[in-house]
This record gives sequence, structure tokens and C-alpha cells, in this order.
Amino acid sequence: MHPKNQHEKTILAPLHRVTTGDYLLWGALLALMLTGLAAWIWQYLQGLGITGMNRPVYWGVYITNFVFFIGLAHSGTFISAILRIAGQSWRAPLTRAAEAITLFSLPFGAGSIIIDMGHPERILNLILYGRFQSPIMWDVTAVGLYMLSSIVFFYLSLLPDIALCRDRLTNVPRWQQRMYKILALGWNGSPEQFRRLEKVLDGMAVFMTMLVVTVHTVVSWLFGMTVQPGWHTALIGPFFLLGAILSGTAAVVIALAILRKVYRLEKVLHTGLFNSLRKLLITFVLGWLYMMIAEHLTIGYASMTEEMTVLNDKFTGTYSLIFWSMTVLVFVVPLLVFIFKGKNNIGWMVFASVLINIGMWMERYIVIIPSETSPRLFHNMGQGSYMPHLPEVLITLACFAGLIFLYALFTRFFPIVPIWETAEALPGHTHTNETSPVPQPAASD
Amino acid sequence: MDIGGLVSTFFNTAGPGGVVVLLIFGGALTIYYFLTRWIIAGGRTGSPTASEDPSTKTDV
Amino acid sequence: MPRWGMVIDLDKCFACQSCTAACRMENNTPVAGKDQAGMGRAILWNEVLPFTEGEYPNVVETMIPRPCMHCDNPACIKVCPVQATFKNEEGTVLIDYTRCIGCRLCTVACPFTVRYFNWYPPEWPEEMKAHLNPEPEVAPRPKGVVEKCTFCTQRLRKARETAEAAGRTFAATDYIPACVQTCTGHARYFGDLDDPNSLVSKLAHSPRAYRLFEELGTQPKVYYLKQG
Repeated sequence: MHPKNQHEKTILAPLHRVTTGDYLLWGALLALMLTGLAAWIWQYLQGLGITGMNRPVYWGVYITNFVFFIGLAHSGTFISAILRIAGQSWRAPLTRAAEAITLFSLPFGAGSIIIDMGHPERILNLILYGRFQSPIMWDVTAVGLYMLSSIVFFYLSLLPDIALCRDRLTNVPRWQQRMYKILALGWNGSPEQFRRLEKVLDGMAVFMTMLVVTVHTVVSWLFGMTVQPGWHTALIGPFFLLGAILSGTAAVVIALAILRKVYRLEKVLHTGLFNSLRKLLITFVLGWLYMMIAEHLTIGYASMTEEMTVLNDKFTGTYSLIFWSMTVLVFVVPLLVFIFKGKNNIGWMVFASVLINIGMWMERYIVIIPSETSPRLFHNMGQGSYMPHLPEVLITLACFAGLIFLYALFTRFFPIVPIWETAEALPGHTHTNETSPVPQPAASD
Repeated sequence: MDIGGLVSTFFNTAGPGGVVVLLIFGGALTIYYFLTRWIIAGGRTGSPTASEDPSTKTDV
Repeated sequence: MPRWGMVIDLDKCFACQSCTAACRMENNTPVAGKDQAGMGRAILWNEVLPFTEGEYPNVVETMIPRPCMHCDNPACIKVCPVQATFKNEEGTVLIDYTRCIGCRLCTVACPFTVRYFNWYPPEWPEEMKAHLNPEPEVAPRPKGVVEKCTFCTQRLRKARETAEAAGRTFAATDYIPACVQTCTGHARYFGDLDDPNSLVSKLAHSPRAYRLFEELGTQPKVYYLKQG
């Protein structure tokens, strides 16, 4: 009733006990999270004035984080849903690790909005007085539905493995065994259950794909639906979407490399997977470059006054350092690394992926702030300015710490590689090879 | 039945948007709940293919 | 229903900024202080802004008093998720401070940057605290909400109440925002744009009349009479 998987022991190995190193890591991350929480409470009591935001820069680091974390979330859905529909069976070992990024980054994306509100305690007003003409309501609906669906999709994909843990992990603490029992919902691994599960996952994969496209487009429309230079462009939807998939996939590479090392999963998360991700990342980086060129050439060529103020600010003005660093970090270095150094070399892949994520955070900042510092009204009166203050830094660190904490915590209690999806055959399954291939190690493994 | 007027009122007044959000979330939750139950219920029905594959026969 | 609008004659305005000061006293806008103002946090429902064209010595300077434009197709109310900001039947764009969640999408959506946010709880020097305007519409706003020029909506209510108490019909000319009343150069006019006989209506159709960023289509109701 549990599908046979030659790597089962390896994958279950990390779950047998929590190490001292874990407690230290979790403690450090919790400390960072608590610091961020304290900063938010202080902000709630004192007012948003303790941040660096002002007029005209009403939105700063918090909204940057909102866009960034929701972008990261697209990693999981892309790998598990979109690649599933495309029949890319090599993705099977990665799905849970990628979806876990989705699951644990979404709360911090949505949380960043709440942190940014002047009256977070009035959040129910969105339900009581919700007005659908506002892009914020589109956001609430899309992101909320995405979060709910991701949780369900993740849980359902986890179900057979929870049952496996319930049955195999007999030496773990009693509370943990009880947890598996409850969460397994009476899963007994019959062929019919697997058949139904696959059907639901197939259906949800289609739905999640539509959600992914909707979510990040709707997030971009917070900016795109205004008339502000730099924001009001039809390209902003696809631009944000591609950026999200790029940063998400790079995040998956980083997560996988760490898991591989820390949990000794070299046989299961083999180099071949990284090579496949490498090809995807090259495609996405080039796609992102296309968007950047299309956007900036269109603006620059027509040279409308207000648009040029913002464009020049990015190219040669106040934000030029960040802008060009971002270009190097997201495009130049990673593309060179991926093409010349990335094949069969996980170290270089991680290096480039880290650069991409740093660059993409900067990219979100660059989209948001310069359009605000040069509002039409200010014209030739000078610019606004923005410098993040300590609360914003602490809360940002807390969000990253939170993502890592939840992720690390999860990997100690549940298998991060789906054992049933990478099994040799599923019970009663007719097309075993398509959905559950035996991982083929690459030559260098 | 002034459809245009209805649509305009829906988008412009406070309240209906919130109702839509609740309906969508509630609907999704309900669907997911029943889907999950349907999946688990697959373990209780007599499965015709189970007898073909002896390796799946275990006592739980 | 009247449609309230304003006309500002830039030939008559000499940027004394009495309008800005009067507005602040009338509407209880908090005092930001030097540091906060330096950060860009000052709340000025009406502001007088310098628009400079050309290089020294061929400079043309226009000083433009800028209240809220009270657009007929406002970018701000479109994006408010809870309808905390709304346009009433007389065309005035107002804010419900008890409903505002402080998301600030309206502040970034406004192309005229006329909306302000309360970054801190409001504060005044002791001497000013004794002279706050007691009208309920301008009760000090708490931190975390957006505020902006309301065309002194409390004065409209008071004008209607006064007319009713005196047993006469309310006339549009009874209602004057603080900035219009105070203007030293008599440069500001206010009234019903829909009344073809009103002064604002006639001035709004003058060949010198223009509006800021008209091409954006928000249909602002504050008209300027071109300088020179």
C-alpha cells in the first residue's frame, strides 16, 4: 500500500531526529522573527512615521517585500503545476521542495501588506465594505485564493507520504506519531485512492496555473492601473509575471542545493535536475531581458516628458547605481555563469541563483520607488527621496528568517522529496514511467 | 433589467465586493473539502484493480 | 445639485501663502515640525508651488496654489478598496476617516499628489492647541489615515444651517472655503460650475482658463487663469 521507492530510506533519514544544529538555527531565526515583530508592534503604536516613507514616497520596502515574496511563491506552482501539465516528469523529485517555498513565502507576502497598513485592525473593512473596482480587492481575492489552493495542493500531494511516515517512523516522539496519524486522514494507499488523488492533482494543476498567471498580473496592476509614469504600462503584467517565475525558479535551485548537502540527498536530487533547471533559468533570464528592453526602449524612444524624468532617474540619476547593479546581478553575470559554468556544477548554479534573487529584490524596488520620487506635480521642483529606516530593515530580515524557519522546520518532520511521486510504480498505475521515473544520475554524480 | 447599471453599482458601492470575496473563498473551501473526502473515500470502495497487483495487498 | 468648483487667477496671485495658512487653521492640519517637514511629511491641504521654466536670466516663474482638484473622474476613489474616499452628490471628494485602512493606494494614484497621510498622531504647539477649529468635520485625524482638502465642507454645512435659521434660501455665494475668503489678492473664486450665471462658471470658460494635467482625463474642477 506504500509504493516501492529505492530511495525511501535516504529520503526519510532526516526525519528520524532533530539535531542540536537544528535548535540553534531555529533559535537564531526565531530571534530575528521576534525582532521584526517587536519592530512592527512599535510601528503600530507609534505610527508609520518611524519608517522612511513620506510624501511622495508613500510605498517603500514593505510593498517591495510584498511583490518579492509573492514572486518567490511562483516557484512552486511553476514546477509542480505548470511542468506537470507539460508532462515534464523529471520534475517529480523537486515538486515538494519547490511548493514548500510557495507555501512559506506567501504568508510573508500577504503579511507585508498588513504590516504596511495604517490601520491593520480595520482589515475586516475589506470584507464589510469591499469595493471591486479597486485593484486591492482583486489582490485580496487572487492572493487569498492562491494561498488557500496552495495549502490544499501541498497537503494533498503530501498525504501518501504522511501515511508512509505514520507507518515507517516508529522511533520518533509520540506526539509526532500522533500528528502523522491525524494528518494522514485514514489514507491506506489503495489504487483507487491514488487514482483519485492523481485526478484531483491534475485538475488542480490546471487551476493553479491559471491562478499563477492571475496572481502576479493582479499584483502588478496595483501599479499598472494608476496613471503614474513608469507604472502605467500594458507590459507590467507580463513583466512582473516573468520576474516572479525567474526569481522563484532561482530560489528553488538554492533550496535544492542546500537540502542536497544538509540531508545527503545527492542520489535523489541529482545533477541532472539542476541541469534541467539551468535550461529553464537561461530561458527566463533572456525573457526578462526582452521585457526590460521592450519597456525601456519604448519609453526612451517616444521620450514623453514625465516618463523621461523617471527613466533618466533610473539610467543616469539617483537610482542609476541600483539599476545597473540590478542588470548585472540579474542578467549579465547569471547568464554568463549559466552558459559557461553552470552545466553539471551546482556550486555555480547556486551562486548565479543567489545573485538573481538579490537582483530581483532590487528590481522590485526600482519599479516602485523612482516612479514615486518623480511625481508629475513636482516637475522641475526637485525630487522626493526615500531611505529605509531600521524598522523596515528589521521587518524585512524577519520575513526572510520566517520563510527559512518554516521551511527548515518542515524538512525535519516531513519528507522534502515526494516518496510516492518518485516511486518505481504506483499501485494499479497504468502509466508508471510518465509520472514516476527512477531518477537517473548524471555522469558526474 | 439594466445590466450596465447593475455592473456599475456592483463595482462602485462598498459591500458587494466583500460578499464576492467571501463567496469565492467559501466556495473554494467547500470544493476542496469535498474533493479531499472523495479522495480518501477511494480507500473504502472495493477497488477492482487491487486484486491484479499483489504487492498492494497489506493489512493496515 | 450644485457642482462646486474653484478658479484661481494666476495674474492676481502673488504667492503670499495666506491661503495655505488659513486652510491649516480652518481644518486643523497637524504641525509636522522642521525635521518631519524636511522628510516630506508636512500636511498642507493647500500648497503654493513654484513652477520654474527656463534658465537664469530668462526665467519664467509661475506660483500655483494647489488645493485638491476634486476631479469629476477621480483616480483616487477608483482605487479605494473600502470606499473610504468618495465623491458626494455635489462633486466634492471626501474621506471617511473612520473607514480608511491606510493602504495609501489613493495617495500614489492621485496624479496631482494632493493627498496626505498621517504618519504620526497629530501634534500642535501649545499655543495653537487652544485655537483648534471645533467643527466636527475637521476633528483631528488619528495616525494611519489619509486626509486632504475638502473644499471646507464644514463651511457648506454651516452656510446651509445659517440660511435655514435666518429663514432664507441658501445661495451658492454663501459658501466660501477658507482659502478663497482669505486670499489677499482676491485671486481665488469659488462657486457652482453648473450655474451658467455664476462667476466661476464664466471664468472657467474664459480663454485664459486651463486645468493641470488635463490630458489625463480626471476632469479636475480647479481651473487656473493663465499668467500674463
